[in-house]
Parts: sequence; C-alpha cells; structure tokens
Amino acid sequence: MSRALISTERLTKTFTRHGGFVFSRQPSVYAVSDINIQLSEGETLGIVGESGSGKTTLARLLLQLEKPTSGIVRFRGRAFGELNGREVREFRNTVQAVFQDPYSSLSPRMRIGEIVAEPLVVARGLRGQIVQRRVGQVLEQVGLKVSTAELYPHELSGGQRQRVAIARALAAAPKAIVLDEPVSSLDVSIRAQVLNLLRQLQRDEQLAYLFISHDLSSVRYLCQRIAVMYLGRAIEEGPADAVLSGPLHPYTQLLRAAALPRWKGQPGVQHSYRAAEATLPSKANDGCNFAPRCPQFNATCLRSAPLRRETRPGHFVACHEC
Amino acid sequence: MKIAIDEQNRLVASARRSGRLPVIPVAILVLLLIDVIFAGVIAPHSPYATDLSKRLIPPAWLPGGDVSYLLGTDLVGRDLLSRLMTGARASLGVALATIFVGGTVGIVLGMVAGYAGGRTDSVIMRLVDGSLSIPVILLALVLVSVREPSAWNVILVLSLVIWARFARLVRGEVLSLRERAFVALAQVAGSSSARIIARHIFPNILNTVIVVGTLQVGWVVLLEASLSFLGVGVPPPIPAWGSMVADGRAHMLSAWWLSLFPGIAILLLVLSLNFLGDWIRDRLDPRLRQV
Repeated sequence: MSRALISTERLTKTFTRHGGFVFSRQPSVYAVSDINIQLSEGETLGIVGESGSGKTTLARLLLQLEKPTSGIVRFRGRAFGELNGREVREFRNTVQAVFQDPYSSLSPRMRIGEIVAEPLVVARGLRGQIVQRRVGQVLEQVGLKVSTAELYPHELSGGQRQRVAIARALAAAPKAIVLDEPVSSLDVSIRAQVLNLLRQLQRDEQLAYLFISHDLSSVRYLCQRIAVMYLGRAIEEGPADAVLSGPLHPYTQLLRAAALPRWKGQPGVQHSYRAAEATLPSKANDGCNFAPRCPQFNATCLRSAPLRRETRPGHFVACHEC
Repeated sequence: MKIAIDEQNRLVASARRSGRLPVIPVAILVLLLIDVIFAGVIAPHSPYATDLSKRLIPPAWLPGGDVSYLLGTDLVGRDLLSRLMTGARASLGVALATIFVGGTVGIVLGMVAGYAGGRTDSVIMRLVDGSLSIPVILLALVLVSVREPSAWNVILVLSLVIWARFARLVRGEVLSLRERAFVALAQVAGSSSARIIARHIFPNILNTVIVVGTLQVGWVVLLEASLSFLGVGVPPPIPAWGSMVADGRAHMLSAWWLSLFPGIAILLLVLSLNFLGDWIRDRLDPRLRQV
C-alpha cells in the first residue's frame, strides 16, 4: 500500500442557510456528508457527480479553504489541527490546486511570471534568479513560451490561462494537485490538449491527482480510481474500469447511461429516470437520499440509509439493492 | 431607420465626447496647483498687509479701480486677488490632505472589513454607519469649540466624515474580489492574509479608489468652504475662500466683489474637479457611474 498523502475520516460540512429576519435560522444543508477518501502518492482519484453534489466543497475542505463541520482531514496521517507551522508550510508545498474558471484564477493585475512564481516565493521563500529559471522551466513544461511570463492574463486565451494555472501549480514541485473541473470551461479541442498535458505531467512527475469532474470520459481518461458523489455522499467508489463498466449503484448506472450511451459496445441501458428533482439534503434523512429519483427503490430505502460496503476488493457501494 | 441611425450617431458622438480629456477644467486645476505652490512668490501683494487708505477699491475695470489691485481690495485694504491666490492653499490643500488621510484610513479599514468578514466587518461597518449619520457641520462646531481652530482640525473633521465613504465602497469591492479563484489559489500557495490584501486585493481596487478619490475632492472643497463660511474652518487671518465669502456678505450691495470672486473661485474649482473626476471614471471604470 502506497503512502496516503491526504485522507479524510467521516468528513462532513454543513452550511447554515441564513434567511428571514436576524435570528431565524434555516436548517443546515449537508454539502459534504460522511466522506472517507484517501489520495496516495502517485495515484489519480476521480470525483464525479452532478452539480450540487458537493464536489467543490470537498475540494475546498481538502485544501483547507473551509473548516469541516465534523470529521478529520489528515495530511500524511496527521490530523490538520495538530500540524505545526512548518508542517502547514510543508502541506502548502505538497498540495496545489487548479480551478475551473481560468479567468478568475489569475489575478488581472499581476504578470504571468509573478503569478507562477507565487508558490515559490511564498511557501518556499525563494527569490531572484532561481525563481526566474523555475518559472521559465514550468512554462515550457506546460507548452508555453518562456516570454509568456512578461504578459498579463488578459493577453491570453482561456486554454493558455489554464496552462498558466497548471504551471503555477507545478512550480513548487508538489506531490499532489487538486483539479477542480480543470477542463470544463474549455472548448473541446483545447480540452483534449489540456487532458493530454495533465496525463503527461502525471507520468513525468509522479503526481497524485484529485480530479473533480462531471465528465465521465475525461475522468476515465485520467483516473485509476473513481468516487461517485450524490448530494454530499460518496455512493460508489472503486477502480475506474470496474465502476464505469460495471456500475453497481443505480445513480452511477444513470450517470453512465446519460454520458456514455454505448460504453464498450454494451447496449445503452434504458433507465426509467424518474422526474423528481434532487431533494436538498436539508437534514440527515432517515432513508436513502437517492430514493426519490431511484428507479429501483423499495420500502427499505425509505426507512434507512444504506451503509457503505465492499462488494469486491476495493469496490465500495452504498445501496440496499445492489 | 433614420431614427436608429441618428441614435447611433448620437451615441458615437457622446462616446467620443466622454473620451476626450476635459482641457479647460484640467488647465484651471493645473493653474491652481501652481498657485498653491507658488502663491507666496507670484501674488502681487501680501495677502495680510492692511492699508486703510486703500480700503474698498473696486475691481480695476470699474470707475475708481486701480490696475495694481486687479480685483479690488477689502475692508482693511488687503488685495483681493492676492488673498484669493493664497486662499487656494486652504481650499485645495485642506481638501487634498483630507482625501489623503481619510482615504488611507477608509481604504485600509474597508479592505480589512471586507476580507476578514464576521465580527470585524460588523464593527467597522457600524462605525461607518455612525460616521455617515453625524452632521458634518455640527461635528466641526463641537470640535472647534473644544480645541483651537486650525487647519489640522479642519482636516481631522473632514477626514472623520470622508473615510466612511471610502471604507464602504472598498468593502463592497473586496467582498466580490474575495470570492474570486485567485484569492483561494493564493491561500493554497500559503500566502498570509496581509500578503493577499497587499498583492491581490489592493491592486484590483486601485482604479475604483482613484475614481472615487477624485470625485470626492470637489465635495470636500465645498465642505471646507462651508466650514470657513461658518467661521469654524481655517482660522483668520489665513485667507480661505469660504470665510472670504462670509466676510463680504454684509457688504454685498456696496462692495459685491468681496463675496463674488471667492464664490466664483469655489465654483470653478469644484466644477473642474467634477469634470476631471467624471472623465477619469469613464476612462477607468464606467461601472461606477452611480457614485
């Protein structure tokens, strides 16, 4: 078993909806609920799910941009609250991120060179020539000219900006990158280029990726393991091939049927997709929270929430029916 | 069809107009700035020297006027032009100092409130509400009756009012900037809050601050004039345009020039500042039109 870089234990984040007048509080929304995942060195883990399933909140929790409501995030086995200053800096050097929107990812008033150099300057405390050299190096690594460093973000296209964002993430030679929908806002031809670049970098640098996406084909292209999220819960998790070619959970089946009508020559499965909206997970329901949309639900599903169990080695599912 | 084309031409023309530097206002402001710096050297007479034999000389082009006293003299025979030229210091100097002091405080507190959020934000914003609800004139009267009247007191009073406008605007800008991905990425890189505010937030609010700063100068000039008019501004014998208007008020019928020329000076200064401010706003940030 390779070493775990980041792992979570029963990680939960709720948001309190403030509404109405001064003190009236709405019930909490479970954005992320009871998540146990692990990202090991050199591994690529895909997180898939529809919008609102808590993928981005999960990313923000792992990056320590949000505090969990309950549960623990561990860095190399140590809970976050216990890290000292040096270890926090170590974490900032080790884990970087690339976000969805390449337009808001780059500060409009900084030159590309400064943007890419920031992790080196801040977390590594480097200055001068070394920084310049490293910036040029990573810019070339992502397929940009060294002279790009002199430009401002508005002089670049969306695809170039996303390459800059990737270069910045690489600058401090991290072990892991959290990629939150890194290609979703790019058009198709550029998307393929960036995915290729990400795969290339992963091989060259032995990077671990936490790749968040709603696009099953790019997840399949990049990831060894997949976790499927629905309304804040990880409902199925396993090796990418197993999950996508033999999905167990009805939601994963629906997702696959919608995204990949003919997966590896199998006939597209016709699912009766019940036209219910995803109910907001406003309280920890007693039943399975997919039940309102599930084509296979029964009385048990309404009574109790399914527990996560291992059906095959490394393949987990949370469903009563499968 | 014709109407549509006319409308389009009109829009194009107005866009061109707004794009041109307002030459006359800028010229006036440049002259005034030169005057503020060199008033002591270029003023034809001393603004303080009284000469009762030369009291109430009308402007040079009127019967009884004297060319060496271009705009006439006041009740104690001081040259009005020299007093106006020196008075620019009080008006513009106090206004610029106020914008600098109040602006700096407002920007810093606004950025802290917007970035920190929570309790810090609430406290600062309640202070803003408070200072915006205090009548300026009343505050000035109280302060001057407690302390000696001085230019510094005027700057203090006006800064106490003006900082809140900056703070509120800056906070709003920061609230939206804070949610942008580059701020989160700076945190991921390990940047401290101070670094994020200085390197990522401040450069992005600078345009807004410049625009609002210029537009507020005119307002502060008017406030300073009001305070001097009421006798709680820059103390005599230092000439200030507001107090010059007030001094001439009693002689409006016989010696109208005493109040009229300082009044015109205030008008020209404020108008020029507003034209310049509008132009800078349109150039840098047309979104701020309602400010």
